[in-house]
Amino acid sequence: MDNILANINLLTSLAPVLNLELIVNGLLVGALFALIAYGMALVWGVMNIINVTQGAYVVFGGYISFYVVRALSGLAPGAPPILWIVISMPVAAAAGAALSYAIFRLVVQRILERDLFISLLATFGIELVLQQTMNQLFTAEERVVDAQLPTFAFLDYMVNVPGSRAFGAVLGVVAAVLIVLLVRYTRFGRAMRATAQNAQAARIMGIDTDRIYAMTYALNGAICGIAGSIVAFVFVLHPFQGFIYTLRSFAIVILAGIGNIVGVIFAALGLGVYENYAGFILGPEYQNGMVFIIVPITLLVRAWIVRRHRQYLK
Amino acid sequence: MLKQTAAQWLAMLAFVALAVAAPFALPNNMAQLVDVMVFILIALGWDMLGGQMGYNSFGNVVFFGIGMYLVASTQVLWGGFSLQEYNSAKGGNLEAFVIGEPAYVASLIAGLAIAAVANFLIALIVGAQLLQTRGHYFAVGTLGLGVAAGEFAGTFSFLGGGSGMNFLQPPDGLQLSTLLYFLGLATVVVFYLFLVWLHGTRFGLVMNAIRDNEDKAEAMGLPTARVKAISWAVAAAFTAVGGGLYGAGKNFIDPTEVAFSLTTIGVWMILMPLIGGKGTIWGPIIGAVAFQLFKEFFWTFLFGWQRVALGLLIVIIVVFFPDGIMGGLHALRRRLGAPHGQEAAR
Repeated sequence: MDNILANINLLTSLAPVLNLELIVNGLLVGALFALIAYGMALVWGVMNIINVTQGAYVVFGGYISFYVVRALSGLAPGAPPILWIVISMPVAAAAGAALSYAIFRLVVQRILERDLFISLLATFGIELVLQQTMNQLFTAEERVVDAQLPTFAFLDYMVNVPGSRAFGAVLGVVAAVLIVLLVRYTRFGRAMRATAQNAQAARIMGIDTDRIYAMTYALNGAICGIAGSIVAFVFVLHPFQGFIYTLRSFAIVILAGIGNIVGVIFAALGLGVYENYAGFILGPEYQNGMVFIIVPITLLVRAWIVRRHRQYLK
Repeated sequence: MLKQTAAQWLAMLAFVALAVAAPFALPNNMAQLVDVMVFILIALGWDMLGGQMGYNSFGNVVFFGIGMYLVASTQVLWGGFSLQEYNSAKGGNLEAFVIGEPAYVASLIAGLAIAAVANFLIALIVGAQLLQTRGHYFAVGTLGLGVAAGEFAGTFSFLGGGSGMNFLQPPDGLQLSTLLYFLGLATVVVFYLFLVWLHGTRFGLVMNAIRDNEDKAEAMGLPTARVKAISWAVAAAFTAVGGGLYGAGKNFIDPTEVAFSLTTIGVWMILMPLIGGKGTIWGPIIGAVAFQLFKEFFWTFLFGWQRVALGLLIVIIVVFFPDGIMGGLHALRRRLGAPHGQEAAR
């Protein structure tokens, strides 16, 4: 309790400049969370499935990126790892898309018409399978890609921003812009949005909705793969780490509402900042718990808001 | 409406007779038999909401874990020891923390009762809020609650922190697992009779009405909010007793691996009613027994691949056999052209 008060005191009166560090670092990881949450919102909006497997795809993409970077830097030791990271991203995206496409054909397409609990539980089961398979394939050792970027210090070393976070945020924003352009301006994107609005009408207009579902799910896998390759050098990789990414995305999507891209971005940035504050004030051992607990809390807040109009969350 | 038919009374008597005989037939498998009783309790508890009311909770493991910690702590406090000192000894210094057999048994039962009451209240308060969210929102919300509970439990140093907490050493000569088994069996019988009675009452009908169409139930003026919270509270009380028995049997609490373990107990308690057939009274019981058999036969061979097996089992059951064993039996009976009179057992 005392150290919590001391930390709050530190932020409010002793060294207010630390706030800046927490906010900047939070915003930078928020870009990554926004990317993952956007994928979840796509699948949720188009196929009405809450994809609990999200986290496993992220971790999978991260491992692919890790191995690609390791192989490439073995071939040409002198080159900067940033280059290899950028090259590994499309590979991780392709691997994520392939894995999620296979899982769609094996399982997910069979539960599309069923109620949401079935899809929730089935994707939860897939998450467990993937977690442990990755544990067997990639070992339980924590992996991290060293981007070899300096930590930028501002204001007399009071505000430190790791270069890897900044680089991750830049890559995340670029990927997000590309994906949003894809969804907005291509035929596939239009077909996808039509299916989300009204699948029956879309079928009548000649859209192969089954194919759209498969491609949407694969696109989500690709998004997660890209996000994973960012996770690999910003955080650490561990096979059993998936749930935290799933639950973060879920919290972001409920806060924002499905189909609200601007909302997703703001909610993700907010979550990033919140996490950093929670970790700083309560101590790092509370950080994950505070992320998980935000899910029921956001739900309650949303439920209270809609209850004022005598409605419930749909 | 669920009326106990003669066949069901017979089934229940046969079950109790088998359950009483089991410890004598399998004296070397007492630990597994205790687990069966715990599994039946938590499966029935999950099914009260998941099966009968359509509220699928991923977070019942919270009550399981809290119950476990409460029973362990009650025993330590009953012996007059300080929790802080006991847990900083980390299971060492055993001579200092010994209580006699009557005190051990009394504190165990008192602990279970305290766990039941406390979790009833917790679920009532949390449920009154969280059960405002419906369907998948409730499911994922409780998922967050379940994972968070494990993270937080590991941060309380007076409960042993991340390295967990030992139960008091059972006194020499006490047949602990036999005691736990019969305590579990008694609770199962009480819970079963309670559920049979409950589903014959108006309250039980409201639970089913909420599952079938909550909007209409609400429009008819049924007290849905109250029914939901109370049901969850009852389920939580029995889940907590299950947690206490399980912890006492394992003699050790690890915050994330035993008490709040979403990827083992937390999913098993959902899977068992699904295996047996959710929304039936016998489904969770059959499912719990079947799952324990499956687990005992295959779990050791699957070392390193247990989560894969569990995940595949979930996917296969959910995708291909969502109605479980009871559903399969109904379908079989219908195909054989049996009279439909007893269909109403749902």
